[in-house]
Amino acid sequence: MKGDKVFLYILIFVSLLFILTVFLLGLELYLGSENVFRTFGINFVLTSEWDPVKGIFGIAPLIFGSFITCLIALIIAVPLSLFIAYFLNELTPYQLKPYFSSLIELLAAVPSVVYGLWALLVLAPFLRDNVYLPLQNALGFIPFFQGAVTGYGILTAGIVLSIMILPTITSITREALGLVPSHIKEAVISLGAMQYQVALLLFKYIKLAIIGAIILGFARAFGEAMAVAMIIGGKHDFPLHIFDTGYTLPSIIVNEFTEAVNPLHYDSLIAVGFVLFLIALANIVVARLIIYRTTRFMKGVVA
Amino acid sequence: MKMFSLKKFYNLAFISICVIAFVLAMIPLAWILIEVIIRGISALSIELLINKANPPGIPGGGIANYIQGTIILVGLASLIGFPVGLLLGIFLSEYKEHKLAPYVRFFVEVFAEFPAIVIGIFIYVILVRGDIFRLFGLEKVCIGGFCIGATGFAAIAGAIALALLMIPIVAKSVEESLNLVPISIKEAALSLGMSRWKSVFIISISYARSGILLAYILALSRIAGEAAPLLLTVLGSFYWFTGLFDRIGALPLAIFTYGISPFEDLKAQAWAASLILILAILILNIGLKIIIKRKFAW
Amino acid sequence: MDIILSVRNLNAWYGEKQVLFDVSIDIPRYHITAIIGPSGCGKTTFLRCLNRLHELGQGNKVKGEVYFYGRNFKGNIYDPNVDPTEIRKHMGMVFQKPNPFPMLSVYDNVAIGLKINGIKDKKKINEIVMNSLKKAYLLDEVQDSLNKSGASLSGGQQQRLCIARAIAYNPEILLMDEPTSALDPIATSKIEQLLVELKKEFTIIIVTHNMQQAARISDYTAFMYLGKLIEFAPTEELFETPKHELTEKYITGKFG
Repeated sequence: MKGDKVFLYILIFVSLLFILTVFLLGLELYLGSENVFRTFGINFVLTSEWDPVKGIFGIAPLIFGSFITCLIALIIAVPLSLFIAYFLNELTPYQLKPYFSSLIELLAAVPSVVYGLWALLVLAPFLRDNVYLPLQNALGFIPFFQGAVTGYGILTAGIVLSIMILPTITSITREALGLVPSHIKEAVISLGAMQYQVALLLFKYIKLAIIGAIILGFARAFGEAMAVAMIIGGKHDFPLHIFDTGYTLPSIIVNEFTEAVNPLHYDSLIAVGFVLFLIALANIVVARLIIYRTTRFMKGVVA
Repeated sequence: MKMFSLKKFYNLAFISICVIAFVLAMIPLAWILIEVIIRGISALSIELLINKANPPGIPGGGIANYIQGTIILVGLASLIGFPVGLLLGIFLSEYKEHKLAPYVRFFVEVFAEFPAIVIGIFIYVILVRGDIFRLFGLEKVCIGGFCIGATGFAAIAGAIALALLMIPIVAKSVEESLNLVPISIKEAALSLGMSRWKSVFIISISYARSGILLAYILALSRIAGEAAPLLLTVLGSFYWFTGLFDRIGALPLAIFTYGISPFEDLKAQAWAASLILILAILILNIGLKIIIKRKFAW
Repeated sequence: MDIILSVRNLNAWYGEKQVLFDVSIDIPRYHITAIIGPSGCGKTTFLRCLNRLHELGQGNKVKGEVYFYGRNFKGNIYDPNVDPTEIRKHMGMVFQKPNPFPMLSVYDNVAIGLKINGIKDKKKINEIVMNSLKKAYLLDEVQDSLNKSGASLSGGQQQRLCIARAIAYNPEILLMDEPTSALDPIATSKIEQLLVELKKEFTIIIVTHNMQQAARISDYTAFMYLGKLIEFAPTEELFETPKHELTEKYITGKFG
């Protein structure tokens, strides 16, 4: 009896320490960036001038860059992930399922620096020569497609991010698909439905989980630092065209941290981290609540 | 008749799109692996694997110190990360009814998705800069003759950052594995007169041992590839390991630094380092999975 | 009659639902007592109250007294100062579905009860393990597979292994929850023979939905219905001249 009590106390101690650490994280990030918000106030997130030497820091273009790259990533990754999830769960023969699943999971096993290296040295030049330049030649009359084409920038970053978040969205969608009670599937199949009709029904059923998966994928992409840092191009202003360079919140920290010139510079980078933390937290909490609610609902329905 | 074939067409189109989507996802995977293998092998040499790096500008040099650094950092991190993650996982699985449990689970889930760079900044602020000590109004904390203060960029800070990343991964997998232990096994243990904590450690963990070991390996392979938290806590180094409170190099950091450098030979080394890193991750994930299934499953 | 367990006004709940109502019974030492009754009558719950297993379930509650007159323990097992883990060391339990530890060898399955009770001498452990396997009519069959996983045996062997595991640390009472319901007739009869042998050393309380089994092997039989103890008597007496109408109906198969 005594041993059990001690054991429980140890477990509770560790758990509380853990929860405390999470709170400490938020607190310290805030404290570390306090003087930045005192100095710039709300202008920190609203202005776009970033001059370490002059001591002026504004991150509006960074926030925009983060959102736009993640948006591109979602536009590419979400449809692909949904089809792949259905493919893996419903269309793959039983014997092949573990192998095909492992292949998709392998995408998640590649470290982000390796994605960055490949994107920097292989993908970007390839895209520039074989996709961007031809695209610009064809559509160059539209202002959106006019500008210097380097191969680096928000579009390439978006593409790389889409590859990196694809396994995340796929696995959550697969899990949700797996929780759909089999009698629903059987009912619609026995009515003579074909695969695409079954798919429509299933996806409608797990609609909410898909939204959760999308938000989580967005959060993943939003927080990705290394790969984006290597190919985003580091422009401290709003991207003006689809092939333009830009910046994101995580990547500026990576690129400027080792060469920060003054304490205010360091603090501003920490403040960027704090903003990142807030946005990431909001995303994750919303996504988890949605996914939790859906899986609870479906597990409850399986009666 | 005509309606019938239109539906069939939609169906065929749908199935084709699914297959194409899967193939499309495989293209970047294959492409990356092929590039890493080809460029990595061509840059690989015995010298590369044995020599430490040279300071910038001096040609030659290897990546051996980065391999050492990664091993040390990952090993240190797991010393903290695995036990804490294990205890959290045990709590979540065995004490579901405790009122703290839903909160712990929530925080573990949330923490698991935090961007690695945020963790890096956190450790930078509290350890590298030492703000955690200033929070209590101290410059350093001394127990006996042993004092800790701001660590500066140090291996220990990097290890702690990696440990923080590791904890939620281990906790979730351990919880999953322990949840698979059948109630009949737990009751058999208790009916023998085992106290609850003994039944957890002697019976439940032993029953779930392959799952738990797998969780450990999975977490190791995840943090081995992390660069962002290390960049902000150890800063990287060209030298062999000199001490816990000194800077240290690591493979992912080297890949980043060399990759963005203007030097072709360093970029080649970056590919070689990528190859080593990916090989290590693959061996951990696939090879050890097979070994564990054979030796630890029953 | 030498009483080993004296149950007084035992009540038990699954959450809000009460499943045992004021059960009082005296269990005689070194005899086999069978507990019979239709499904849902509470016989398994009753058994699990005896080794304080029932209260581990979330929301479960137990009220009442169970006086245990053991070698090293005399008193109410539900006294607040009593450690339930200690109580369970005086009792062994065998479950409906055989549950040997699959990650331990046959040998270790039996030895584990000894090791957690502080017995460290390897020779002594070996002696007790072999002895227990012999008493459980299992030693001959597993001589050559002592190092194999506990789950590698057949169903009947697994259950005998569970019996060996339960008796290894010398409990005074064996609680058996429908131990043969998942086994074929041959395995069943082997275990029934075994139990008759074992009662020389242990008090056995066996829950069974098989009346013929109760009639075959038990000395005393208790009949339960909807959480209440209806009748308790020497087996022959209960089956031939039941005093209660419900007992008579159950025995003659008027309800299952």
